[in-house]
Amino acid sequence: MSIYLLATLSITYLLLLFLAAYASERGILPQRLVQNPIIHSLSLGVYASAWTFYGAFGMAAETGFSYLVSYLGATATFILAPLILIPLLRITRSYQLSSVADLFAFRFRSAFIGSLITLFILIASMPLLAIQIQAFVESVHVIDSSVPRHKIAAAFCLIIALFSILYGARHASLRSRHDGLVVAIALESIVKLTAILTLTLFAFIWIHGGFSGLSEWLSQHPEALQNMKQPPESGSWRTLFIVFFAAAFITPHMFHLLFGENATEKSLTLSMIIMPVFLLIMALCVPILLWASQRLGTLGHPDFILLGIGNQLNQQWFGAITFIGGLSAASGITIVATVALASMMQNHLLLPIIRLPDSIRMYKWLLWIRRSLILFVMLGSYTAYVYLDHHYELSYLGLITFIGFVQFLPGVLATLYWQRASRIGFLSGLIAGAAFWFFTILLPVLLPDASLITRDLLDKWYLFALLSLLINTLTMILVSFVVPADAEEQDTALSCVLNALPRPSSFSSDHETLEDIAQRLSSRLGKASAQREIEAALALLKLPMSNKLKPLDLLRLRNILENNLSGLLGPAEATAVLRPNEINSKGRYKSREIHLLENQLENYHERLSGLAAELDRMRRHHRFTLQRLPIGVCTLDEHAYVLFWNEALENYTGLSAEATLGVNIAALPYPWSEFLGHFTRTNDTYQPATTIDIGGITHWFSLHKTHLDDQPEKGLILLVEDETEHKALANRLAHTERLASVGRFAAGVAHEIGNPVTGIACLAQNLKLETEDPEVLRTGSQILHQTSRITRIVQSLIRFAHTGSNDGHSEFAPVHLCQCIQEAIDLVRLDERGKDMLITNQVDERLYCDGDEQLLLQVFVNLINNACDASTERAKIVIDASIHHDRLKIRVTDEGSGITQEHFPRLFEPFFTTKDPGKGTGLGLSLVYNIITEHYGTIEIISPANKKQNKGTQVIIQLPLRQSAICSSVGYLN
Amino acid sequence: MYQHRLLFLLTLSGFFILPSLMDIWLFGGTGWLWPFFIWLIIIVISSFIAWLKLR
Repeated sequence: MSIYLLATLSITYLLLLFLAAYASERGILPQRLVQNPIIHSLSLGVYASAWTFYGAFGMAAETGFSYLVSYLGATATFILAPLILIPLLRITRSYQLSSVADLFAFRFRSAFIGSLITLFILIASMPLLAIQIQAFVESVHVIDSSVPRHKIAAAFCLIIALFSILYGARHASLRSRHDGLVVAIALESIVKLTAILTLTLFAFIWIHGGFSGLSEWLSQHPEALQNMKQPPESGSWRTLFIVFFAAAFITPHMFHLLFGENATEKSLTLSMIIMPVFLLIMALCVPILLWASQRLGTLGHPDFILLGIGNQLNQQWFGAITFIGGLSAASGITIVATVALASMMQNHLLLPIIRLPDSIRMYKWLLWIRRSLILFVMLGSYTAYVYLDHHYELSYLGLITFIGFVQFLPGVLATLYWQRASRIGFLSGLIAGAAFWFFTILLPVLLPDASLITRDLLDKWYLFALLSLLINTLTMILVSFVVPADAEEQDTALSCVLNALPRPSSFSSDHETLEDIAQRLSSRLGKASAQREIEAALALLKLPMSNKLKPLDLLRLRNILENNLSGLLGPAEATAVLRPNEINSKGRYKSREIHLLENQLENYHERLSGLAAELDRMRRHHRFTLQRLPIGVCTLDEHAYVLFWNEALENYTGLSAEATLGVNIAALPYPWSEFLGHFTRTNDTYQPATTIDIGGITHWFSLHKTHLDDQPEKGLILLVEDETEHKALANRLAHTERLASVGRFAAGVAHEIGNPVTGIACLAQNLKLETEDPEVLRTGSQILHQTSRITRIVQSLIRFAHTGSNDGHSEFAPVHLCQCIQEAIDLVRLDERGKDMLITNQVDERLYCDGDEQLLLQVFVNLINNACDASTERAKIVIDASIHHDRLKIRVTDEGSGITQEHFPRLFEPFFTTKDPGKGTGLGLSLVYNIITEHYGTIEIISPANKKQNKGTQVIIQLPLRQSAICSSVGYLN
Repeated sequence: MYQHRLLFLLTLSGFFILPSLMDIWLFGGTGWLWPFFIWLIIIVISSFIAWLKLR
């Protein structure tokens, strides 16, 4: 194969990748496919680097099955995804973290840690990238050695840099997904797998002759199997297991793909299945191909046996497939690592020290910085390759750098499982472990003369690696106990450990406005960029651009801004920009935070387990109880800001919990600010029912309060009880009592007056008999007339008193309603005013009711009389009746002058009358009321009855329709 | 998280405190497919757990 063919193959293959990425970005490939969790899981196959195609064979030839540790270490990582990867995903997604440096800068609240780790990872990654370049260069050189190595390396680096820029640095925000990149890397995983499977199948079938052929060869060459199964003399493979376990998620390319791109919990759960299977297949191919090369007697470096087999068999396609497989393996890790390193350097090395331009150019500026950094990383990799390749064995250096990456493992485990780890502890552990690794492993390799470690000791490198890890861990633990974490770190540590429940920002200022936030942003981003960010965040929250945002909305806005800026500038920078002057709020919950925290607990409660789940269930039960109490409950903090506002209080006030939480009680809308605020300021713990006007209707509320003085979180509990109905009931009771007392008074008066009036009437009667003087006779008649009037009043009073007292229960019998009403009409018509009225009886003949006929007759007479008194001559008065459910409804409707509203409350009061003095006793309606009440009915007056003409009165009497009445109405049909 | 911590510690101890388990896995057994066979069993078990989680 010539170099031109190789170049064509390479460019064609990379173009194919470009096309796949382009199609994904432009939507040519369906989104369902692009964002499928399986695609993301496949992209994690980037772990299988050029080592899989070359180095693994060399290691298998030398140390047998020990080569499996690199695959098994990664398998362990993916199998343990629920314990490591998924919790990490929750943290990185919640806080917009895109790299290892972001993670530690966030966890330990230190921008310096982020910068230090970035530098460390950058230096450690150079040999890793150099290995990939070397693998590609050597594979080309094995096929065609005419082209100088450095030129091949330069071409490779340039093309990869271009691809990285085009599909890894297209958006200013680091949190923007690069769907094209993920699809391209997933495609590379498929290409790698297909390539090695194809080669293996060919070797298995054509070279070995199937399973039987292989078994026969192995039985003839037992040393081949023995070499494979021979355990190594040293226990180095155990150390390597830990190294590769950590490398599967801590190296920059793996971290970027696992947590930065399109990652979901579903895709990581799927990776528990896909990745181990992928690695198993890749590993299984190695012994088959190795034995194939041994069978053929392939010469050359063991790392490149695949190319050797192709050359041996003179099969160009074999070599081409090997080359493509190796290219996909090398290019994948190089592209992703370059993009990841560029982002880290931007966030942690450049942005903390340089000023962003204050204009829309900021976003383009950030993008071009990242692209330049990508070029810088590729240049560094190329330089590392050129320098290191000539002096050191790169695969060995690669192993050493992996051991360097392992120094982050204690920090990651502490992030997930140990909240007491402090910033100083982590830094101390990292520096101690890294220093030990540097002096005992790296320095002896780079500068053997300058090192104290001899060659013999260097063979125990795996022990030094374990020791460095041990020193790292122990130092971190000891120093964390001696110098514990501060409140800020504890807060963050808790948020990482608590099933990665995203916590609301603890930076909350009670007096902050939108203007304050804008000012703080402007100082870092510039006025125009700050304005743009704020407008975007407000649009996302559907909030207006106003300086009068509620505290809860301001907190939400700050969280969105922090998340967005975290994607642009990194979390440390974003937090530093948005942090206000802190109020001393150590350990104290703020009202908005409780609300936000509870909202988030609602979303996460299914993920809580053990004690946390139990506590959350208890919290929900208590909250539900408080929410559903039939009285209003409101809790305030010590500064009178609302912490809790239940449903009953929402109903009373019309103010939702969303609108009131975090608001000062004095800032509530009128009249509640005054009503509740005044009570909170007094020393009283109880305020009896007080009126408050709500929408023109008077309500009565009583208030209770309890101070929370014995709690660490001081505050106040307010209970608001609606007493409106109680008050109305009390008023009705008082009215009834008043009527009853008047009735008792009336009975007494009647008895006292009756006797002397009878005496006067007798004397007047006698006077008429004893004289013929016309003057005396006239006077006597007048006396008789007046005494007769007094007698009628007295009799009415006595009747009223008797009906009001409810003693001597009347005998109820079926009353023919129509007949009774007709009799009443006839009685009224005996009077002058009754004759002129057009009184109509429309009551159904079939209707009966249980009652006292005489009393009911009295009721109808009184009502019809009143109707006549209120109406003009020849006016209509209609009496009708109907059945409604189990009630008999009788209506007496006139077209008279009606009753004014002011008289309504007193209509049934005894002696209340609107007629001229002497025209009425004022007892008629009181009598009617008592009689109807005695009949277990109700009476209602509507005036005006004719709302259009605003005249007339309708009296509605409802009497219970008892069983006897129903039977009567059906039975008495004749 | 207590459950996870315990599981994680158990898994780590299984691999590191008992390295002989790894020795048997990689270098024990009679045929050359033995390590891959054990590996496959582990994959099946973890896949089942993953499937339960996805369900």
